[in-house]
Amino acid sequence: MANNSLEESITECRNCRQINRRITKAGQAGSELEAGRFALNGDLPVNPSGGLLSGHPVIAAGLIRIAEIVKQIRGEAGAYQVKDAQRGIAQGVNGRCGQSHCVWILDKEK
Amino acid sequence: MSEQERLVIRSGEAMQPFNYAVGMYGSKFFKALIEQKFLGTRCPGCGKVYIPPRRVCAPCFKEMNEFIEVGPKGVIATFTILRYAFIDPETGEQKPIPYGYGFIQLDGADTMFQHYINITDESKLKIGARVEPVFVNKPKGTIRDVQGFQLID
Amino acid sequence: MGKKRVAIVGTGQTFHKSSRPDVNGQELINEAVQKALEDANLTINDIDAIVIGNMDHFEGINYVDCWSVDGSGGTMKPIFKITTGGTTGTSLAMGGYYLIASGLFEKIMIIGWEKNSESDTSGAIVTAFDPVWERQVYAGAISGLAAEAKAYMEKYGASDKDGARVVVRDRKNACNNPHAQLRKEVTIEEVLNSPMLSDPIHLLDICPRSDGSCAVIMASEDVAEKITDKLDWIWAVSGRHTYTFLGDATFGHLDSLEVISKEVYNKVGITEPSKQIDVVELYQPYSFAGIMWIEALGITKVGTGAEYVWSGATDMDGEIPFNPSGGVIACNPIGATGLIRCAEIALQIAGKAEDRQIPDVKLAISTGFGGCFWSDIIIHGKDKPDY
Repeated sequence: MANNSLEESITECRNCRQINRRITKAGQAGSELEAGRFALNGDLPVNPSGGLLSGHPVIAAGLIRIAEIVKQIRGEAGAYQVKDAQRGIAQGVNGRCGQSHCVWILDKEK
Repeated sequence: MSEQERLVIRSGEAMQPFNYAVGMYGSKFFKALIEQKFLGTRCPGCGKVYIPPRRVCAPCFKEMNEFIEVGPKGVIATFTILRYAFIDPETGEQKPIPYGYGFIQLDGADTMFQHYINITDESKLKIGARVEPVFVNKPKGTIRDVQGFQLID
Repeated sequence: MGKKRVAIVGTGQTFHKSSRPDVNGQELINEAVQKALEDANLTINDIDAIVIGNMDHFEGINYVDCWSVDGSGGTMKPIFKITTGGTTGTSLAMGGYYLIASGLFEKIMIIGWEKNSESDTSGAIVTAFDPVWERQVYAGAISGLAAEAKAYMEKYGASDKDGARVVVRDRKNACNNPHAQLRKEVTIEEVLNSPMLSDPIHLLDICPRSDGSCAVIMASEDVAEKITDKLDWIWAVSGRHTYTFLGDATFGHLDSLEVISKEVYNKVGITEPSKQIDVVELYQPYSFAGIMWIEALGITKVGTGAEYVWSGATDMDGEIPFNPSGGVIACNPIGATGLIRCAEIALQIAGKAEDRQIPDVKLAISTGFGGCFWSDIIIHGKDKPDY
């Protein structure tokens, strides 16, 4: 996956208090967040489901991120549907210092 | 420092407590047990009667809603006699040996009920022997409201 | 069938002991990994992914996948943790196999390990059982097996002498295996005179608890033949899990092993296992399993297990030798035990089994077993499968 963060139309992150550096340049996440870039109707919606800060069954959380992206791509996300979602990222992390990561990219097209 | 102390770090005695929900099926079962009754559930697909009762028949993968009273008497399906000291997970103490343990086919149930078997005469403890439950005086709504099973003469 | 055929290109094991206070867990793991790399003539950089496991809760260390990286060589590699109770070792082997067979990975390091000496493993095993319905009336892992043996004995007239014959065979075999923990022969009388733990299981009928680790390297057909010419091809694998509560099980016949044996025999074209299979490493945690579970494997008819063993057919020079390594009764680092069965067969197929080698091994079986009667099976072959 290249640095083309704008191609990814939605992202679901675990523990996403800090936006992944590839989505934005270092040091810019805070200002972009405030500017609404990652909001539901922003350029690159992050955690449209409400993410982990809204609910966290620990071991299921990573799989839920994937399920949430599937719902978005299918257009089944109801009140938190991202318009025309084509492709999404689901990310999971483990370890107190983030020692282990797993990233999925899901797309509407085969 | 001795060789032993240098090589091993002890974890300490801290406990890790859990609170397990019994769910609706468990609740019905334990309330009936306080009344000295055993409840099982019957699968609408295969007709098998399960004890302990549960929500799903695993082979059919169907939800069960029918509760059936089974037992309280039954037959020893298989058993063993423990002759070495095993720490009782409930009390943390060593259970006095020898003691019987096995699986009871309660009348009307298709699965077996795990529990202790009281031994008075070892020679009479056989597969196929008829048994009945012995209940404790102060039931609390746990599987230990049954103290064990004893042979019916 | 998978996209790629898969072979074992190297194995390594520690010399298993009742206690290894000279190493911590990561170091124990590392010993087996280094041996496997040496055996395959590979370096850790050649490995694409790690598959690792041990018994849940036994060492009280979670995130084993991360914690063990300096032992496993897994730094900045994908790591998959698999833990399935007693079948952990064989599930690990199957997991590694599936990853390579998918075509997405080429060379995988599979690791099973256990440091039983570090904890109260009896206490840990209790956590495998339901806290509401079973733990308060549970009597230990041995009691469940004893009840199984009793049910079989009642139905088919076997006795504890039959179990003892199995012990004598395996303990004798273990003397040829430098990795086994218990390497001293025993007699039938010694078994029957050893303390009775839980009728009918005597102390010498049951497996020990060991510290040890085992590593197996599997490779895709695209590269396996370039790595070594001493290959062990995986022909078929299968597993079946079962269990809600102990009282749901069938006592006296291992259903899960019967189902999966039939499945893999059918796939591979085995109709007479006792004649077509050259050697078996059976996950046999206690002696009576060596009487009962060979029936589930279709080696002999139901009810004739004892007779078959007494005939010598399962001895080293018999029609179908069982446990040339000495098996689980001689050595049991549980998380590794199933993987050791697989590694021992790999050694047999590759002709590397030294003093415990069975001549001309073409087709062989390793099995796994888990506490509440679930099973795994792997069929290994000297030749590359043609499907």
